[in-house]
Amino acid sequence: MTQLKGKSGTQVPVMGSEPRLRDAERTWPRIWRRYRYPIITAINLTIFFLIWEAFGQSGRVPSIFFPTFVDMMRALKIGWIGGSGDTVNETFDLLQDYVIAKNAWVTLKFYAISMVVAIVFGVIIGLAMGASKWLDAIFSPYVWTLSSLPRIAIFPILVLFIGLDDPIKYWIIILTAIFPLIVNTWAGVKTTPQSLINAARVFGASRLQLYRKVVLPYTLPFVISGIQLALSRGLVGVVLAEFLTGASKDGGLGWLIFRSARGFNSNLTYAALISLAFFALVLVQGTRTMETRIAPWRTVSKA
Amino acid sequence: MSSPLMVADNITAGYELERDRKVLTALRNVSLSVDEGEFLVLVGPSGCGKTTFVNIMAGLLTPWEGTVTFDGKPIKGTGADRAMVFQDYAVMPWRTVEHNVMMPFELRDLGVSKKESKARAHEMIKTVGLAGFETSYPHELSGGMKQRVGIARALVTQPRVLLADEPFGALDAMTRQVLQQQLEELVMLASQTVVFITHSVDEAIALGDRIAVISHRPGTVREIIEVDIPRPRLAEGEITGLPRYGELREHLWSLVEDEALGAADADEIAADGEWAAENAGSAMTVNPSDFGAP
Repeated sequence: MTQLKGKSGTQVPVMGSEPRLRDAERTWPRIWRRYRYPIITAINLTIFFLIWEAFGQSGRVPSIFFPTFVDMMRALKIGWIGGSGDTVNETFDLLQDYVIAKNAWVTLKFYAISMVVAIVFGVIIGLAMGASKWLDAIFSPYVWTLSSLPRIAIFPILVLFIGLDDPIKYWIIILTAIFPLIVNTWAGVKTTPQSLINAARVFGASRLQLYRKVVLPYTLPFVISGIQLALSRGLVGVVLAEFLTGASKDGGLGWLIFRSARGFNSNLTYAALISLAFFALVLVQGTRTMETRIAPWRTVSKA
Repeated sequence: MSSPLMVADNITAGYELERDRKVLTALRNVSLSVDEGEFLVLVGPSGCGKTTFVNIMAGLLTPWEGTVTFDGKPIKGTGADRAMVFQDYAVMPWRTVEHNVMMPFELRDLGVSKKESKARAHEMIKTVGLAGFETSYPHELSGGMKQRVGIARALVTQPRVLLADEPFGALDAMTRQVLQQQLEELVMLASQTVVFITHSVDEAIALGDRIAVISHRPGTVREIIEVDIPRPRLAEGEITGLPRYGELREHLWSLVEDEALGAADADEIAADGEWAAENAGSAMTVNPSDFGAP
C-alpha cells in the first residue's frame, strides 16, 4: 500500500491506491453527474416558490391580483381532487370541487379532436402540394396568405358565419394549428435530395415506391417538427377560442382563467394557469421524445 | 477482348435550367462503347457532362439525339442490369446498413425471397468490409464506410454494369486509396464491367483499362487512351513510380490541362447555376489542382 502521511497524521490517499476510499469518493460525484439536472431543477423551483410565497405574504401586492403560493396550491387541490368542505361558502364562488378537472377535460376534448383533424388534413395537404405542381399552384396563394396573416384577424368573420357555438372552437384551433403542418410537410417533400431519388430510381423504384420508400421517410421528421409546432399553436388556439366564446355552456381552462381573473379569484386563476402550463410542458416534452424515437438520424445531424 | 456491351451512338444531351429557363447542352455527338468486362474511366473537367453521360447510361435521362443500346437493345429507363454508385453516397439515412443493401431486392422483383436477399446482403456487406455494421445507421458511419454501403447496394444484385459517378470524390486521400484498391480487387474477381467517372488523372490511370478524356462543355470525347499497366496495380506498392505511369500521366494531363483552363475561364460567369442543376448539392469550382497539377 502506498500511502503518504499528511502533516496532521491523517492518511492522504494516493491515486489508485486505496480501493475503499476511492469508492467513497466516487459515489457522490456519480449521483451528481447522473441526476444533476433534476436536482438543479428541484432546487430552482423550490427557490422560485419560496420567493413567490414570501412575496405573496408580504402584502405588497393585493391578494386579489396575486395569491400566495399556499393559497394557489389549495385552489389547485380543490380544483382537481375536491375536498373544499366548508371552506367554500359563497354559492357564486367559481372555486368549486373539481372545477379545474372539469374544465380541463373540456379543453382537452376540443383540443384533441381539433389536433387530430389538423394533423390529418395538414399532412395530406402538405404532401399533395409537395407532390403535385398543379395542386401547389392552386393551394399556394391561400396557404401562404393565411399562414402569414395573424389568424386572430379572421375570427370576427368566422364568428359571423359560424356563431359562437361549439363549432367555432374547432375552427379556431384547427386554423391556428394547421399551417405549420402544411408548410413543414411541403418543405420535407420539396427538399428530398435528388440523389436519393435518383438512387431509388436506378434500383427500380416505381413512382409509388419513390413516395413510399424515399419521400415519405425523408419527410417524416419534418412532419414531426410540424406536429410540435402545431401542438403549441393549437394550445394558443384553444385558449383563444375559450376566451372568445366566453359563457357558452362548456367552459374550458381558458374560460376558467378569464372568468376567475375577472372575478378576482386570483388563487384559482393561477391554479388553472399552472395546470395549463403543466399540460403544455408534458405535451412538448412528449413530442421531443417522439422525435428522437422515430427519427434518430435527424437528432444526430442536428446536434 | 469481347463484344461491346453498351454503345452510345452520337448522343447529344442536356437539360433545362429551371431558374432562368436556359437550355444547356452538356454532351454533343458523343460516341462511346463499353466492352464486357472492361473498366472504362471517363475523365474531364467539372461540368463537362460526365454525369449526364452516366445518367443516360443508367436510364435516368434520355438523350435529345442519338441512341444508347445495352446488349443490342435500346435503353429505356433504368434496369436491373445497371447499378450505380453516387458521389454523395445516396444511402437512405433512415435505413440500417443491411436494409440499405437489401433495397434493390425490395424495389425490383428479381425473384429473390426475402430470406435470400438478406443472406446476400450480409455476404455483400462482408465483402466490402462492413461486417459487424449490419444494423448501424448511416449517420453512425464515416464517409468511406457510407460509400462501402453504396458499393454493396450496387453490387448485391450482380448487375452487368457498375456505373460510378465520382464515387470517391468526397473522400479524404487515404480512404480514397484504400477504396480504390479494394474496388480493383472486387472488379478483378468478378470481371465486373465498370463505367467510372473521375476528375482525378491519378485515379483514372490507377483504375481504368481505357480512359476516355471528355472535353469541356458541351462534352465530346477528345481521346481514348489504353492503360497497359498490368493488374493488380494497387495491391502491391505504388505504381506511380513506373516509367509507363509517368508517360501516361503526362500525356493525360496535357489533354486535360487545356480543358481545365478553358473550363475555368468559360465557367467563371455561368457555372454556378448549371452546377446546381446538374449536381445538386455539391458546389464545385474548377481548379487545376483537381487534376493533379504539379
